[in-house]
Amino acid sequence: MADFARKSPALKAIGPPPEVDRMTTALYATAVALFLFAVWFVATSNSFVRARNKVDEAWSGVDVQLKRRHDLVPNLVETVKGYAQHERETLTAVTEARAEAVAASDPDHVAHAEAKLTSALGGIRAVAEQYPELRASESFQQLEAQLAGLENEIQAARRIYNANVQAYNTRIQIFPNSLVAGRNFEARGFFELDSPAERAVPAVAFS
Amino acid sequence: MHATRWAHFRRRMSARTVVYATLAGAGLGVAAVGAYGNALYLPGGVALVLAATAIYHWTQAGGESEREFFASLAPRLGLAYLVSGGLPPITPLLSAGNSRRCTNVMEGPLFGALGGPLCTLAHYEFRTVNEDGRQMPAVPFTVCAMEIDAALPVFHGVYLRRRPGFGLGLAVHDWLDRAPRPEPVDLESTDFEELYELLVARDQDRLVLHQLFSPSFIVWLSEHPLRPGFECKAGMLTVFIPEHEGNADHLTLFHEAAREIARRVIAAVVSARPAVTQAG
Repeated sequence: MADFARKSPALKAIGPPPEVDRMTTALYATAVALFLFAVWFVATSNSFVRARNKVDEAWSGVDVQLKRRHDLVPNLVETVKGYAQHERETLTAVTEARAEAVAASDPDHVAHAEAKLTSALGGIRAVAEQYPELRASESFQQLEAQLAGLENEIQAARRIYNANVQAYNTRIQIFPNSLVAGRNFEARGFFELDSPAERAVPAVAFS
Repeated sequence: MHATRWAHFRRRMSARTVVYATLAGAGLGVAAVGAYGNALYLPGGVALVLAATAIYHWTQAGGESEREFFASLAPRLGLAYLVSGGLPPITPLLSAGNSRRCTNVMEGPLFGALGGPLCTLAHYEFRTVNEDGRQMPAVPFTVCAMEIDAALPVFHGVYLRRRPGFGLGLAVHDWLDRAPRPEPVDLESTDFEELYELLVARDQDRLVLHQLFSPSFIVWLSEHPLRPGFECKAGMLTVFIPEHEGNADHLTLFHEAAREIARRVIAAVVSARPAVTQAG
């Protein structure tokens, strides 16, 4: 019988035994699965890079607005000095806070230093209340308007940064993305201004 | 927009109109009975003429109610109602397709009593004829267009529009698909990128562009409930939203959005002017 099978062309055409066929199919399936996994891995990794770049881009946007505020502060101090020379303490606090903010580099320090600067600038506004001539001066009004506009831009830039951080963090932390993220992609911190003035809840008195 | 349609319809379909329509229908029915010898033609003729009269007056009542709505809205926005008019085909949207139409046109100074550029708020639509010569369905928008001459040397082509979802939005005609095709620009906000598509002319100054798209403007656009798009080219600013908006609150909000966008464009032009003057 075996001899007949070896010689018969019809039986040869049926092909290899079923065990070999199954093995080939399994090999192909594994190769396809590995290929799909590699494609997913690369695509996911690239999406992390894009999201991280967006976070960095948003941070540079925050940085630009903060630098614009730093550039404005010396002019503001000089203007106030012209009218309120006795407010040395407030002006020194602003100058020191600005120097600290300029020197800060990582988001945590920047947040702390900027909150301090915002608080010190609040002191200048309080000083201005006591000097009607200062409040009436055109240059002070212009600077204050510019400062208000910049603070608005800083808030907006901060919101963009925090939204990007949230999107990035969610992307790298959800399963199975976290397997790809590993240690190469670390979660970023939010940029939160820990200013007591900002956090204070306004007291409403009902009489 | 059609709040008073029923009232107009009832006024138009007065007892006299109904009597005349019934008589005309009866006459038609009698003629049909005489011709075909079937008595059913008599009530059929009456019903046919009455239905045709009702449809005609319902359509007319819709138009009257629409005109009434815009005539009462226009003064609230500081504009005058012109019924119909045209928009200069300067920006890509306003020159899109093979034919264009404007209805419910309102015109006036952008900032009301404070003046500002003359703005035209209208329902706008364009139609495209495809390669087989078949006319595609009209693509409707609500637009607010204004000329800002000072923007002419500063903005060579800035086009912001909602990102089409799964190709549905631009299936009919992509009005920016023209030579030379504007370049896409990425801004820093992930939310903004998901909502909007920003394209600019190849010779557009990127510094001025980033001055316009300040963080506060990006956040404002991302959070605006109407998601307005705009185009600024050759001194013309066109703010738009898809579909013909017929809600008074939405139209007021849209008009305010157009004002805000114009204010931002004018501010960017003013801050860019020294640089442009030096370059010139």
